[in-house]
Parts: sequence; C-alpha cells; structure tokens
Amino acid sequence: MIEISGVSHDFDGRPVLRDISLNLVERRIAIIGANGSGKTTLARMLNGLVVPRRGEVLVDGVSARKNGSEVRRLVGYVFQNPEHQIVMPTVEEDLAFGLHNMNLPKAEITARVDAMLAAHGLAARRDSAAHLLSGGEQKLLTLLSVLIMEPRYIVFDEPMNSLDLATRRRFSGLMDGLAQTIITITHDFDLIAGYDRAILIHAGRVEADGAPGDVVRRYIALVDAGG
Amino acid sequence: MLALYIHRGSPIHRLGAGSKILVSIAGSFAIVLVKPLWLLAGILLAVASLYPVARLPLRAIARALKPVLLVTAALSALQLALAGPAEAASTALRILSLVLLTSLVTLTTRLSDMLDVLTRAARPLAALGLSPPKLALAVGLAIRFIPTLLQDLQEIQQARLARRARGPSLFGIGPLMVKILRMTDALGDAIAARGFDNRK
Repeated sequence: MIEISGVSHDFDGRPVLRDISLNLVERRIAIIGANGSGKTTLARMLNGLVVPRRGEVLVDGVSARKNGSEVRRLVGYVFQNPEHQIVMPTVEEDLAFGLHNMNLPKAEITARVDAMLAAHGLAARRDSAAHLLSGGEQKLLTLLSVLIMEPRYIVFDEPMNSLDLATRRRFSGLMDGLAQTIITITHDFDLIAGYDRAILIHAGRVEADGAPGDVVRRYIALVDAGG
Repeated sequence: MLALYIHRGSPIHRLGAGSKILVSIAGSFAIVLVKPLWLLAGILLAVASLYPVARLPLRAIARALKPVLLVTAALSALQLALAGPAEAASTALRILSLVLLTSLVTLTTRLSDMLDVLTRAARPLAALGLSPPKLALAVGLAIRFIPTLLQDLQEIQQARLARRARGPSLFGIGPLMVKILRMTDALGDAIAARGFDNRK
C-alpha cells in the first residue's frame, strides 16, 4: 500500500500540492487533472523523485523521505518522453542498466534480459541502437526497462502520448496484463474506463476521488464551469 | 564520425574492452610521437585495414567520415601555408589515424563494457571523494546522446529553414542548448528512478 499523509509542496514558494492524504490500495488507479494541477508532482513523490516539503509518503511502510533508494526499487516510473528515459545506446544495454544498479550478478542480468527480450518478441532487436527505434518501440523499451527490475508498483506518466493506434493497443494490452499495481497520470479517459479508482487533482488539492466515470464527470463539470 | 556500437560477430568485437582501450591509448601515443611520413602512412593503412576485419559497414562509415575529412583538409591547408607540405601531410595522417583508431574501439565495443572498464580504472579516484560509477556514466551518456543531439540540431535547422530564418546556422546552437538543459533534468530523474544511487 502507498500512504500519502498530509503532503504539501511548493516550487520556489508557489504552492503545487496542498495537504493531500490518500491511501492507494487498488490495482488500477488513475490521477487526472489539468496541466499544472500538481498531478505529476504527486506522482513523482510516489517513487521519491520529489520529496514533499511537509507530510509523508510511505510505500509498503518505507518512507520516501528517509529511504528514497529503497522506495525507487519498489516503485518503477515510466516517463512521458521515452527519448529522455533511455540511458544506454542499445536495447540490451538499456534493459540491463537498472539491473546493474541493483548490483545483480552478471549471469542473472543476462538471464533476465534474455527472458524479457524473448517474452516480448524483441530478441532480434537486442543490439539495435535505441535512438533508431520507432516511437512505439522506444515506449515499449521504457516499460520493459522498468518491468525487468520487478517493482511492486509502476507509475505511468501520460503513457499513450503520441502513440499511433496500433501501438496504443499493444501498450494498453501490456498494461492491462501487468501484475503490479498501476498508477497512471493521464488525460486519456478511455484508458481509465476499466480502472478501480480515479483521483482528480485540482489546484493542488484532491477535488474528487472514486469510480473513474464519476470522477471524469466531475472534471468535465469543473472545466465547463471554467475551473 | 559515427561512433556508436555496431553489432557484428568479428574477432575485433570479441576482444576484451580493456585490451581494445589499452591498444587504442598506446596506438594514439605512437601516432602522435612517430615522425617519418612513410610510418604514419603505414599506421593509417593498418588501422583502416582493420575495418573490413571488423565487418563494419564501410559505406556508412565513409559517409560519416566526410565532416572529419573536411576539417582535416582545412587544417592541412593551414599547415601547408605555415609549415610546408611534409607537416601538412603528417597532420592529415595523424588526424585520420586517430579518428579511425578510436572510432574502431567505440564501433566494436558495447558501451556497457567500456563503462565497466572505466569504472574499474577510476576506482583509485574514490579516495578523492569521486564516484567511479558516476564518472563512467557521465562518459557513457556523452557517447549515447551524440546522435540524439545531432538529430535535434538538424531538426532545429530545418525549423529555421521552414520559417525562412536569416543569419548563420550557428544560431541553431541557442535552442539546442535550451533543449540540452531540459533533457539533462529529465535524464537525471530517469537515471535516479532506475536506482542508480544504489550502484556499487
């Protein structure tokens, strides 16, 4: 479970989150809201990339403030722009990057990379240059590079951004099949239709929290009202 | 110059990263120190002859060499005017040999293997408070992002052309620097998110 207790945060004095408290226990959770509402900052707190000024984030009882590196092992993060998430030049090396960071033995790294490439039909792409992959392939690589580290939770930041229809379907199918708890920041209401819970962040506060359909209706009403 | 790893099953690919780096360092010293032109020409021929052995795509590499050839020609022309034909020839031979030798290493060695060697080599620096994995990663990222940044620069130049921009193409460097700074932030987060701070 991820527990967020009394979290507030600001950037250079400009408040972005105000007294947020949430317990995330469902398997599929969406965070929605307007640009600049604070949802990405909240999501980044879940794996310790941002430490809140006030309040606490606990992941399975581990404090993101006190033990950020352990929290990052528990929570994977798939960023919006794959170009900025791929660290190594080839597919194989990028998959292995996180495993090297976990200080696993070389034999285990090789075995996990081989298994991941085979499971997703990428064995022939093992030595391909990552920067030459298509946008969809790069997105897939970013997900696999997180999955290979076997986190318990995965945060997706706008996962369907700029993907074509076929890639969206493939990526969405992959996300549906994940055993991990998924927390998705998105503007894509179709994607979250089957989710267990949606949270609407507005002006740094939780404006609505519940079934995705109800929360999306509240969001639309808010936008219609000029909020 | 094209400098990222190209996978082939050649004998040069199979050599250890450490040996290749050591040979390239020793070779580079030799290239700088050797004086006779015939010997410099011999070294260039020897290095060039390793490319077919490494089964690298020669046409693509020849295309990637064009900017290097232009720079070499300019420098040699300057040397010709200042110091005569022998100096001009040795400058050209040295530059081409160095570029081909170091590129041969990066083209035939996985970056992760080079980083392992760099991390080991930088271990003594840990006594000075420096982190060998961080130093190695910095070098690795510089190599990894060369093609991405070149692509970005090309896009910026095309955007300038599309908007009929005037002025030298050097003006594209400004937007590129902004892009690099933004990318650096995002990349730092991505590296942290994948647990780099746990690396030993």
